Amino acid sequence: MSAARARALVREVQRHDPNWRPTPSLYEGVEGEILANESAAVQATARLRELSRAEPVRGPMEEILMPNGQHVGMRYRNTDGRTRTVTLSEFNNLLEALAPGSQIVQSPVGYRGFWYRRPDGSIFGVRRSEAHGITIDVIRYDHLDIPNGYKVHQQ
Amino acid sequence: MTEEPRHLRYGRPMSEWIKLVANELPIDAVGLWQIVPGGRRGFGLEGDALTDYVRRCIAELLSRGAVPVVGGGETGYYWIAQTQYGSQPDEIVENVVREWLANGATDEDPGGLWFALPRMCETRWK
Repeated sequence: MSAARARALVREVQRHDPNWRPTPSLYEGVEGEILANESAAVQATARLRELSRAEPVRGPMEEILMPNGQHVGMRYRNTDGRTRTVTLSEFNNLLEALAPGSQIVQSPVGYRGFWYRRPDGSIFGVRRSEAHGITIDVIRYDHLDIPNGYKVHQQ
Repeated sequence: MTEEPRHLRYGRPMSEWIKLVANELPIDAVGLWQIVPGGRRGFGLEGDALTDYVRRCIAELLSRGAVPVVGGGETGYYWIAQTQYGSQPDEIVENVVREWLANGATDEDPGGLWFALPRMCETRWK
């Protein structure tokens, strides 16, 4: 998630300043990688401020999870349609779309991941799942097509 | 003869929808936080009708071999079985539904009860 947010921010800066790059960080291990991503995100946010640009926030969840009115990815076999599977690259793109402007919020003890609140108040979770590595859960979003319990798995 | 309720968005009959919900078991656990809003928003149910829907979904999950679980959090396990609800399907259904009703029949959240295949409780992620 930290990588997705950093990528989205760096891409936004480069839309306005194509030659800009964050100063690379040396890191070791998962914790170090997260810190490096945070560093890139902070640098990109600062550069956006210098350019008088705001962090880009995408529209509501249905625009991200149902582009052109179609659910992302594929329905898993004979499930109810609210469980989608997408490729790794599609999954990363979804995280990059959901991440900007999101704040981490308290998640329940048993949840193996983190919850994030988007600027519109909707909440999604990113958790480690047994069969698919990482899964996006829609935790709070009162929409008929994207209800609570909507899941996106990596293929 | 009364026609079976159909999903408000997808048009599927309730009995078929309940089977679709349980079809997720091979890849992921199914949580009460998915089941309850599915009945409330998906079929417009409340009160006894919602309770009956929740009961039927749980019975279907148990019939596929699922057991009640909670997320393993930092224990290293994906899921931890909750044996306090009983060992027989009818007993588990009644105890889970009683607890859910006692807690206000809320939509629940992913920190609550899920249903997973037993093999998922044996898998560690760290």
